[in-house]
Amino acid sequence: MTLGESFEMIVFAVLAVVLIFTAIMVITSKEIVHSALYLLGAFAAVAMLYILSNAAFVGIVQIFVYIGAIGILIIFAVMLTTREVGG
Amino acid sequence: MLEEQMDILLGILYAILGNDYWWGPWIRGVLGLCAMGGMMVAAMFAVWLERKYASDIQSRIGPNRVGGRFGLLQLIADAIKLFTKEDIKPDKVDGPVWVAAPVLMFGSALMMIIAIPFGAFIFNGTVYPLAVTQFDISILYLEAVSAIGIIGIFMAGWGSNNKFAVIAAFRNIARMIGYEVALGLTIISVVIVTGSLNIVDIVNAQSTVVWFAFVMPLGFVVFGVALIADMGRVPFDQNEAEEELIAGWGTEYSGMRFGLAYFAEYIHMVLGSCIAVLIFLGGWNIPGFIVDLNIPLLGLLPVAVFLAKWVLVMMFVIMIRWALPRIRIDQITSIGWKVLLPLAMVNLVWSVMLGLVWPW
Repeated sequence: MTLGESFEMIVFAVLAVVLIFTAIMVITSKEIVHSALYLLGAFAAVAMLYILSNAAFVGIVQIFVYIGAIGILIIFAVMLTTREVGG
Repeated sequence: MLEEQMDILLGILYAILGNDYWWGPWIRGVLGLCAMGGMMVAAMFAVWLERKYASDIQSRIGPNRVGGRFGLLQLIADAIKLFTKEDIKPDKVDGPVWVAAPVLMFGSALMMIIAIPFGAFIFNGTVYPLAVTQFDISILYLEAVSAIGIIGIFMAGWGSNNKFAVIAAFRNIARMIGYEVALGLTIISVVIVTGSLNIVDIVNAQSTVVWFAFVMPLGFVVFGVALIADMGRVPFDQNEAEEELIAGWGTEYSGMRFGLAYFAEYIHMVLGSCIAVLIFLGGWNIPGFIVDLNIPLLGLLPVAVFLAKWVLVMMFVIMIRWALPRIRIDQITSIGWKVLLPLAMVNLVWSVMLGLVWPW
């Protein structure tokens, strides 16, 4: 394994751990806004996985569409819900 | 003679950095750090320019005590003040979200730096753009990354646990949905005409013929309005309207956390002006004059041209801020959906027709 390949493995492992952690936090968070933000984190990790596997276009479109559009819409909808003040 | 020297220099770099000297990650890292430092200086310059120009418009003198007659060191004094202030964290903020928000805003502004060519060197007819990296989809990357900053503003507004801040975050997203579509459509029009998503190709396409600002004036106007809205400056700063919302999403921030967000805003303005110059105003090209001389100093001329255009665009943006009043949030959303979007559509049709005959 060359230096580049092992570095790639390390980056992949970190991204995979981040992805699994954020994905679990999406469903276990008590507050719905935190779930939405963790979902955006998961999207970002997926985008970086695409870029890591030399699919930069798919990765950037993933950021563009999922974080820039869908994520904003989810947040916008969540913001219209009520929340306990001081929670 | 000069080429021999260049060859020797590149050979040394090749020997040090192993394969692929220009694209080597170490070189790119160092270039990125340089661009980051340069951008900090540029943002400070933008703050100084704004203060001086604003005071000029309002018949004041502006900062003139620290750093000579023009107050050039005022910014350093301000930065020291921000750094040494107490870091106040209100009790009822949403901890991690509130802390991460300014970092995210600043990070999204910094991520934009790597794809922007800040001028170019021209040797023997070949264009060497002065960018940290070059890739095929740089304009898409810029759009995607700048959208992340919106999430940062939302996190700041929501995490502050403050009514004014939440209203500001809400306004920000409602406004952003309105203009972002028009902004994207005008950029896509330019991409259709040039047939490339690479920002360097877009600039090069304007070297032989004319600038896109003259080819599609409608698109330029829509882009300009949407870009000023994107920078979040008056007349489109409904998300931090001081008279209505105290300071909007920044209400609960103080010290260096506020400083980071403030700096991110100015970096956004600087980079937005860069993008406007690159896409619509010809980048480093001078109309009707192609710098193709093998004299090194003339090779630097495009960089100077780019910087001059960039400063002019920034001055225009600053002038608009101090000349116009703020419009209401319902006005900006209705402008976005009912005026900018149809005009951007018309411009898209025009660019498709233009793309058939381009280049003339």
